[in-house]
Amino acid sequence: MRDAWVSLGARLRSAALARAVLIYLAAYIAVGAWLPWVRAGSVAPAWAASFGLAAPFRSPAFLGGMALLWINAFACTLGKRRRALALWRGELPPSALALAPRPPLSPEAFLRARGFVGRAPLLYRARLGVWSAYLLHVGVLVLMAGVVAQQALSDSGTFALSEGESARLDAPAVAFGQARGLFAATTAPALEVTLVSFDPYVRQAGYKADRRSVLAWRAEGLPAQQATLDRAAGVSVGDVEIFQAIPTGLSVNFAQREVRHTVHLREAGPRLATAEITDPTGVALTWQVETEHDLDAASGTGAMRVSLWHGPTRQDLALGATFTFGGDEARLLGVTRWAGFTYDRSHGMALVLAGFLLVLLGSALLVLPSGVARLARPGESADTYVYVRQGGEALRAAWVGQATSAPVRKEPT
Amino acid sequence: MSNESAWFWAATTLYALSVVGFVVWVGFRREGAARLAGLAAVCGLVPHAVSLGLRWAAVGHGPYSTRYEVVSANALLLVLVYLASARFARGLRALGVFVMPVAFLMMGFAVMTFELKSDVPIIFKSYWLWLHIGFAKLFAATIVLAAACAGAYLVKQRRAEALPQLPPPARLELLAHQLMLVSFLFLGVMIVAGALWARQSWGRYWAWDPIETSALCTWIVMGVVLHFRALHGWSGKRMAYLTFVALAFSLVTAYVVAMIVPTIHNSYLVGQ
Repeated sequence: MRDAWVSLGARLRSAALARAVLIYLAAYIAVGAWLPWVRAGSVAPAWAASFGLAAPFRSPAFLGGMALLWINAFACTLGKRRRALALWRGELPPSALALAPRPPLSPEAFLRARGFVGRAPLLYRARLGVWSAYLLHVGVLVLMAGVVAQQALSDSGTFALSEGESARLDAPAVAFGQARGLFAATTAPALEVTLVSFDPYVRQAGYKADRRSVLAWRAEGLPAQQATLDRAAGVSVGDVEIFQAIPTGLSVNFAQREVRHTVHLREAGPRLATAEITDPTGVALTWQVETEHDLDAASGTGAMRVSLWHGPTRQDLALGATFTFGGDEARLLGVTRWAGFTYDRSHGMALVLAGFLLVLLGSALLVLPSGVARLARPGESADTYVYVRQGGEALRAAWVGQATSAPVRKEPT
Repeated sequence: MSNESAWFWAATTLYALSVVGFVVWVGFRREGAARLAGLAAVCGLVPHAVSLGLRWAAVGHGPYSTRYEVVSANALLLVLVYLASARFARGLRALGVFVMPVAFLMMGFAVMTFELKSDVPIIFKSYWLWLHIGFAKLFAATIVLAAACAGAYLVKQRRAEALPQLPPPARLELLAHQLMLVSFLFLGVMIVAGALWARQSWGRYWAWDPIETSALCTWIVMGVVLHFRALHGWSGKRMAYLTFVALAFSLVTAYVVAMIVPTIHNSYLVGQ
């Protein structure tokens, strides 16, 4: 039984598995990036859906490959720490390069001229570099674990507000398009947000015209706050972040018994926006706004015609006009714009950032030409042993004074 | 001809002179040509930087939008990184015979959209931009240099007496490996900075956009190549060919995907 486990462990940390999984994932990602249906607004064909490839980067084939990569990297990393620690302490691996004595040349002077430092008989070059592969692999493990944790704990959603409109995000029908991890909160954040002002085409110096909002918010236990928001960066409200989204449109605002109501309209044509709603008595109505210029014209929509359809009957409404809504009188306040926003609660992000940091640290240390050398004692005619992670062949060639030599055997890691 | 155009063409002419000088040096072993080639490359940097500076002043942002700005800046950085590497490792000077023609061709590719100027989207208002784009350019320059070392290694392996101006094959092979490690790091920084920038702007750090997916694929491919060396002891010709594979993936990521697939990165090569 123990042999079986040992054999399994050896297979899981084998270089062959690492190579196979990495090549598989690289090929999968390379193909996945070019699939036409991964682009926004495209629909996967039936055959792709039947193979579970409608969302290729959430498919079992991809997630299975990533899981295998994590297991392989974990198994490899266990041994890497021991080997890195041994090198750190000056214990050379069996594959260390042997520099035979070449009197009157001094191996110590030769190595010191190539960046080795320390007190004989142990010399080091870029000693920290011995940890590079270990840190890089730990970074990959932490990053992958962080992504899983972040996906499981995070939730996000979309909401839309008109100028002057307030809404609690956890109220029914306010947030939509929600994505929620397995262990994420089941309700949207308990946050009341007000859109104070919105301009879809503000030109900031040096940039294309884009959305900008002034948002105010109130959360339980936190003072009311207000901030200006554009698509360059979100704002943080406790553990929630709010981002300006691209979608925008027209909204009809009316008052009934001193209560303001807002209806968000969707684009039904270049100069036509509509919304189908049901009034409190269950009657189906359609709001319609026709504009002189295009709905997304940066210079403005020009004149508007606001209509309310009761079945086939059209009622045109001027600003301040009254109409019947749910059997009661209502008054048209005006037409403004609604703006789209997203919210996000990214718990577990710290682990992702730690993974990024470790991967970059490991990659940076990988660049260092680290090495460890054990010199023969003075008077001894023994070989000097050197372990270098890069350039063993060039080092040996320089020592024997010829351009080429037998390749240096690499230490399996 | 505008001022900017004059400076650009002055740089292109000097790079062309440098190409001729390197070819004469390597082909006919004339030392005088080497000095001329190096001097032309160094002098070419000045009008090149001025032309980009003038464009910067005209459009109000750095060279990271439209093909002209991006490719011209990439060429500038390639020449700069090459000259710095040649200063650091003297034997690399003759790599100019590989690098300078690439820089010259990049200038030709860039000038096709010289007239195109555009404002950048508001999401470019971020400090991550500098890290993301800066390291993308450094990555592109170092992987080209790594491939140039690998190419020179292959030439010298086949005919030991060829390119006597370059270091011995073992040293070239080591330099190719070291440059690939550097480009692996730069690509990693580029990807991470891009992810953090996306998180700052949109609240998500990864969206499987074609270019970010292609960059991840390139990073993994480079990881595979480095594994072949570290775990299987691959070196010599096989590593040289694998360096070309990494270069091919890098070129596809940096220059091909944005031109043929709709992506949030279209603006940097297409100008949309």
